[in-house]
Amino acid sequence: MSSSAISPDARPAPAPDAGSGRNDLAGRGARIELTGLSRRYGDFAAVDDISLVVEPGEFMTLLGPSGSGKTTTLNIIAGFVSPTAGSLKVDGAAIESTPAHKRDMGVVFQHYALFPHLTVAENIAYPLKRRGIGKARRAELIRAALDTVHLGEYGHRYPRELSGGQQQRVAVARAIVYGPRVLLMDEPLGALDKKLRDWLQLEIKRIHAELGTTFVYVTHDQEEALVLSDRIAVFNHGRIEQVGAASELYERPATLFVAKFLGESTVLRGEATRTGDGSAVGVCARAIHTPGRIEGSRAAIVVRPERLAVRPRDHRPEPGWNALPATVTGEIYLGSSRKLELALPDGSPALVREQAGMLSDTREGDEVTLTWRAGDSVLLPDDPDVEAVFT
Amino acid sequence: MVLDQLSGDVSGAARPAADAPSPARTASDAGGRRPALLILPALIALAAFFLYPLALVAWNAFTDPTPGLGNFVWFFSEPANLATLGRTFTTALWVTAVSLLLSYPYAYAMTVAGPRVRGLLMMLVLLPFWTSLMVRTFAWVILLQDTGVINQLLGAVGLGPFSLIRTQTGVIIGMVQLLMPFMVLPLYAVMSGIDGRLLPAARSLGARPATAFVTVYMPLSLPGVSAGCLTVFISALGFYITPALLGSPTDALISQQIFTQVNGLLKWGRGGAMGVVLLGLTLVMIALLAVSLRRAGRRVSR
Ligand SMILES: Nc1ncnc2c1ncn2[C@@H]1O[C@H](COP(=O)(O)OP(=O)(O)OP(=O)(O)O)[C@@H](O)[C@H]1O
Ligand SMILES: [Mg+2]
Repeated sequence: MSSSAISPDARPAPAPDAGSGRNDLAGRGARIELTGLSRRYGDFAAVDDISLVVEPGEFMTLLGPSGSGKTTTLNIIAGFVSPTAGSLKVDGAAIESTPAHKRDMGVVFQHYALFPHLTVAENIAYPLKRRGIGKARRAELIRAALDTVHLGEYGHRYPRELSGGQQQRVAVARAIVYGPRVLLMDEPLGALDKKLRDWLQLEIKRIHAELGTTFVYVTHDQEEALVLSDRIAVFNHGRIEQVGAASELYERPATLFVAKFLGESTVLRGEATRTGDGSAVGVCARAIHTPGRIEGSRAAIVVRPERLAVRPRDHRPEPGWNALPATVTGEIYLGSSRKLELALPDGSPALVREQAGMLSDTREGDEVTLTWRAGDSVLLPDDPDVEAVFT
Repeated sequence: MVLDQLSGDVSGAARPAADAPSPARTASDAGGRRPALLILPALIALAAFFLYPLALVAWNAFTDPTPGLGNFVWFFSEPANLATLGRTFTTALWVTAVSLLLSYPYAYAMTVAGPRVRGLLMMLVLLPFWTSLMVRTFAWVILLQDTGVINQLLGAVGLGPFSLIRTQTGVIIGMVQLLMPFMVLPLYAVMSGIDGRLLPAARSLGARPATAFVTVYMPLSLPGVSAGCLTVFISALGFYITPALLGSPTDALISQQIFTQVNGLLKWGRGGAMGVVLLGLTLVMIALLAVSLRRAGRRVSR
């Protein structure tokens, strides 16, 4: 495992099974099925009629802004909060009325919740004792769990004697040592600095691959979601806006909220009218073409920055391309790429990303033409609420 | 006097032991002798008003009326004295146990209650401090007497009457009420520092609610238990007014006997010897209690 070599805070021993990729704690992940799940507090719906299927062994991330209901959803799955409506199934069996301690799920909390009066090894032994596992077998499992998180030598320490990243890994070891079918993690890296977070993301990804357990992971950091997940469920106001692989959410966002929350984009607003092969949206007195169609006429077109190109002002667009006049207002050099900030005639912003080696000779203040393929315009119903969230 | 001592005690005991090395200590290396100067007034007061009288009492015990161990021989050869000593310790133990049983759930309720209820509960704990010890003890006389409020209430539901006043039960009831704040406050201080997410964490790891409480919450609350028990137990050993007013003269505790020897019979040496014996046994008990509580803490946490 070369990832461990960059560990900033430990000198981990190599995992015993690193070569074979097998882990003693490996098991089978469960399928989780949420159907029409809600949790109300008085009039307020913290979770509002969500449905979601997590496949066995999948890494599912719940992504969304603060207060969008991610933790509540995770707590419902763990059994700490009971839903006010809907059903929750694990491997086909309804478990709404199963108490938390019988659900056989591992939970990693944001602040780890390690038992301060127990050593690392005793913390990890805790779930094994509750299951009546004998002393010899316990020792083997603790060893395997500590090796999995590269903390082999730390068993006798108390949690307060460990760094934040080490405590986080103990929390993971404690949650996987009894081979739960599901591992739930609520912003487990939220309290750590960026460098440590990047490394632990890779560690979590590796542990997921080794164990085959179903992971449900909560974060509000979109980059973290992109690095880790098989699929991402985007939460907003207690609802799920879209579920899909990262590329799907990025290339084909279902709502303006998803488009704005994941990655950067240029948003063009206007009235949509249907055409023979899609729609045309009036933006800055020009017709912008897109293959998409929506109900209603208030539309937003989303274009990702790498899909946009900058041409001289007198450039004539080819058939199947859109074009808009724009003024360059700023330029950010990023090494492998360059970002150009532009303003459209109506004052709204646009963003272009050019790869290094393919940079245009555009400079700040230039009057240019912005072009892109009609097929790269994602047509979505406009949502005035979204601006409130992001500005 | 008793209360002064106690409130001094509790503020020290209520703080859970911190393991982190105090930054003040490292800073004092550079700061020279200033901290020593700061505690000097307290040290002088302690020497003048506590150590000097204590030494005087001990001196009397060994010298009055004649030098030697006569007073101690007298104390240990009189069965009545040993009975009094035993009664004092059992009463203090009962008071400690009953206070703990009542205070533990009370302090726990304070940590889980909303801010309004918590404020109310805290006020109820502190209420006794706002009235004098004498007034409260006389209130108990009125409540506990054979025709008192408690017996009238019990009579209304067809129970009793019980003789509560002039019994050990009455003394214990009164002392528990007076000493409960010194149990509740350190318990609350320690309990409110316990991370509320530890219990859900234990549940998720497969512990039933009761198991989670016993294996996680109780061991973490033990520093509060030992601080509260020590304070209440030691205070109960030296209580004078409450047993004098609520207890029977035949069941007197050692503080009452000391008073009789010194004020009634003017036997300063015997009174001093009793005081020295009480002090010595108290120190031994503190040591034993501390060791056993630490052991228990370690065992429960395994
Ligand atoms: N016990 C409760 N009583 C009342 N409202 C609650 C309760 N628990 C959560 N809420 C509300 O439900 C909403 C969702 O909370 P939740 O903790 O699930 O958000 P989250 O997505 O995890 O946010 P964050 O990223 O800040 O952790 C919030 O508005 C919160 O105030
Ligand atoms: Mg949360």
